[in-house]
Amino acid sequence: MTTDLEQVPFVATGFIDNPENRCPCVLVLDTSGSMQGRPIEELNEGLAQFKRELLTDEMAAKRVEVGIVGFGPVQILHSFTTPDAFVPPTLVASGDTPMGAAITQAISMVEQRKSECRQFGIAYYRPWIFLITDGAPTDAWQEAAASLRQGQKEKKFQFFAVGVQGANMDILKQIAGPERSPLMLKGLQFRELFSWLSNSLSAKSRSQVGNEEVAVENPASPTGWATV
Amino acid sequence: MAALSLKGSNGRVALGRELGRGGEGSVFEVAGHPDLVAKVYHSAPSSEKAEKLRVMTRLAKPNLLALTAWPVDVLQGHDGSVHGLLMPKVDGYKDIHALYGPKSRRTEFPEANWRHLIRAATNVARVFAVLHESDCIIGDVNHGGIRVRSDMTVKLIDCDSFQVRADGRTYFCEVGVENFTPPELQGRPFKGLMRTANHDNFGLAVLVFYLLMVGRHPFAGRYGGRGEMPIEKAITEHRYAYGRNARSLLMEPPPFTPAALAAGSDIADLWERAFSQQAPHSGSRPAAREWVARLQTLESSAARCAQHPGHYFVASVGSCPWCAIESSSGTLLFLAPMGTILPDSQFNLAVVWSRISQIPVPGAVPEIVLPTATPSPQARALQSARRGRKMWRIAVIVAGLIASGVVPDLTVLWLLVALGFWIAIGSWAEATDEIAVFRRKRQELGNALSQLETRLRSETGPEGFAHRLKQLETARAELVNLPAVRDRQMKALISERDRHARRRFLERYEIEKAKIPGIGPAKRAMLESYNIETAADIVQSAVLNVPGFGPALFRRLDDWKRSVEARFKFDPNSAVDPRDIHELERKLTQQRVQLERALLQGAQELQRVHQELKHRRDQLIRAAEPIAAAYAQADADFRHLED
Repeated sequence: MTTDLEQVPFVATGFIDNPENRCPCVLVLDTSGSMQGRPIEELNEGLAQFKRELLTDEMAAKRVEVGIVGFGPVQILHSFTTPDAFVPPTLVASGDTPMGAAITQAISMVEQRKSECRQFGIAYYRPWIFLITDGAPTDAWQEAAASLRQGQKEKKFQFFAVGVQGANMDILKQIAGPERSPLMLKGLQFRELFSWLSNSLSAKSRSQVGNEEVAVENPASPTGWATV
Repeated sequence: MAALSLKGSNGRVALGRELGRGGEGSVFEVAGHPDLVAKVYHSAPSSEKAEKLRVMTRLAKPNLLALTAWPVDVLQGHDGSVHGLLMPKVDGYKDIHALYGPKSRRTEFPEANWRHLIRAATNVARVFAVLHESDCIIGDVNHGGIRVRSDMTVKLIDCDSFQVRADGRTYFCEVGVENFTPPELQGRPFKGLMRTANHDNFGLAVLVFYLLMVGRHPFAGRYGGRGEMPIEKAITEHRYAYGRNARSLLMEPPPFTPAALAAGSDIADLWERAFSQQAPHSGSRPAAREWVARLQTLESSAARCAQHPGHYFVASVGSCPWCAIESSSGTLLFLAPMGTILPDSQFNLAVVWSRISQIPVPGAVPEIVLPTATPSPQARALQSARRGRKMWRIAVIVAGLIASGVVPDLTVLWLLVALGFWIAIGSWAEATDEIAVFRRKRQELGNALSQLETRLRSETGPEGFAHRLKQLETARAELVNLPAVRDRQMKALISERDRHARRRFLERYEIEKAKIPGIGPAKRAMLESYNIETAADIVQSAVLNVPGFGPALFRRLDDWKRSVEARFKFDPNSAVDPRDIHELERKLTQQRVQLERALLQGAQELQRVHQELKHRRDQLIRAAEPIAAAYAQADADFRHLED
């Protein structure tokens, strides 16, 4: 129970309005100069579709929370929100590729959101950190990679990396660590990628056990959007 | 899937529009059977599952059919393998989470107050009781499998996963959702697992909790121990966050939630029993019938709050728990009612419209005001220190230059120059560092503020309200215009007597009874399932749409239609067919009722939008005030330092 004198942080109202379990997912998106032109356009279109598809699943619309970190330069482009309040930003490509700092930012966003959830007694699923890049880091990434490995080992979050044409897959492999190999996007199939991501998050937020058929399809299958 | 040829026990089943798609299969309309839907699995189920579905169709009883989407027939492929099932259509219902979540309740069930939630909980318990008494276990209790209508009656869907028993054999439920799974089953595989009513009753207690406690889960609380405490772990460890022993289990209810006692001590006792450590072993969780009895008592004891007409609570708890949460948190749990919807005959446009026009139109998005600020003592101190250092730096350099002129010794000169540089660079670096702190602070606060501004604009713009108002204006105009529409359509009826009479005439000739070459009983049945029943229905596009019908068969049907039509003679002195007039009146009445309802509901909706918008603006502005003040300060400091 609450007394009149307890402080009411702004974040609380969102949790009272919608006390459902949260399923945070932060997109770490490469917006460096090399993404200019079609890649960034397709990525923007993919984001808009992501919102539309999440909204078609009523439960996912209450549980999934999307946040976006852009890099080149590193900035929080969207703080965590449920799909109804998610306004896909229009990404503009410029600058270099400070991937390490972006990953560190994403990890701290996830940890902060989890602590807000804990404070307000809101359950959450293990957050996802989803990196998309077409280049190689231009900053020191080793420390970020170490935090990723540590966090995954402690089951604090799950990390996924997707390389777009031109990405340095060797470094990406080192960043992703042994837990999960990075995937290579086929062409510019961002829409297929986000459709898959939306389905995966919907399935995850349903948390049904025992039904293998709802398990999400393998993105690296011949009809999928990626290659290993 | 739709291409698959499927038959039920009464012959071929023609699938219509796809209504939805899930992980396991898709649901379709069934041509010619508006009360049924077909579920077709993405891949053919196992023989065990197929056998289960057959058994279930045999078990279909009226009491089960009234409360669930129970399978009534299986769908087989040409080789006899089972691919799906037929079940009653559950129309006009919404997922139960749309009712218990405060945000979705405001839009999906705007009139629902706490008594509605109790009634829905009672009805859920009733369905559980009926199923358990029919020796049937739900197994996979979850928020998507129970659907509720605006009158708070509920229906269960996804029945093919139920655990059923027949002829001494048990067909298992092999799935479950963690948040509704009892502790004794958490983490265990469901395959081949015998589920009991006691397991279901855990899920029932959770559902009742969700409904009565405005969307909260009984095991989601604040955990005082180390590490994380996800719901499934809390369930396994019996850490009921609202329980009497919660504190000793390091659990605490989340802030801004009602206490379990808000639902009365009887209900709180039932939860204690359902979530206790003993419950898994003794099988002693409250059964569905017990919930029904206690919930009925609770509903009758709930009284309206004197402060808020949308709040109901049990007087025994003292003060209104909803008022306490709403006023301390600034959110809306329940909307104030707009008054009950009047029966059609009493509809009064003037009254309804005056009600709509009394709702204040929201103005432009409010601005976040920046208070004026003067540089802080810290910024002033830093600035004067910088000035001091600058003077000192110049002094050192000047001294060095003078010294170089006066003292010819080169060693001393170089020493002095080096000292000058050291001081200059050191103080420069120090000052930049300190300014950077101010700059960063200003930038961070600026970002936070602009994020709030964006939210204000995107979430509280006046457009949504204006759009709805516009819709209501359109509905009103249409309603006013209805008599004119009727007039016009009556005139059209008179001028189109010929066409209408012809159609009536053709409708009297049923394909079923005609002898048409090439159209045997199977073809007739096919046509019928596509609603092509009389000569009037023979239209090229419709016929070609029926599987197996090409231009040749259409020509035969069309020839027959022409031979029938040749016998029709129009009498120019005939009156308009009374059935046409009746049909016109029926349509107009329907239109009128729809418009009236749209206006009544729209008035309520508009009121809700108004309340929410106002609330949201207040919230955001309140949240912005401290940030705006901090930003103004940071800005003043930074500007001062830049000078």
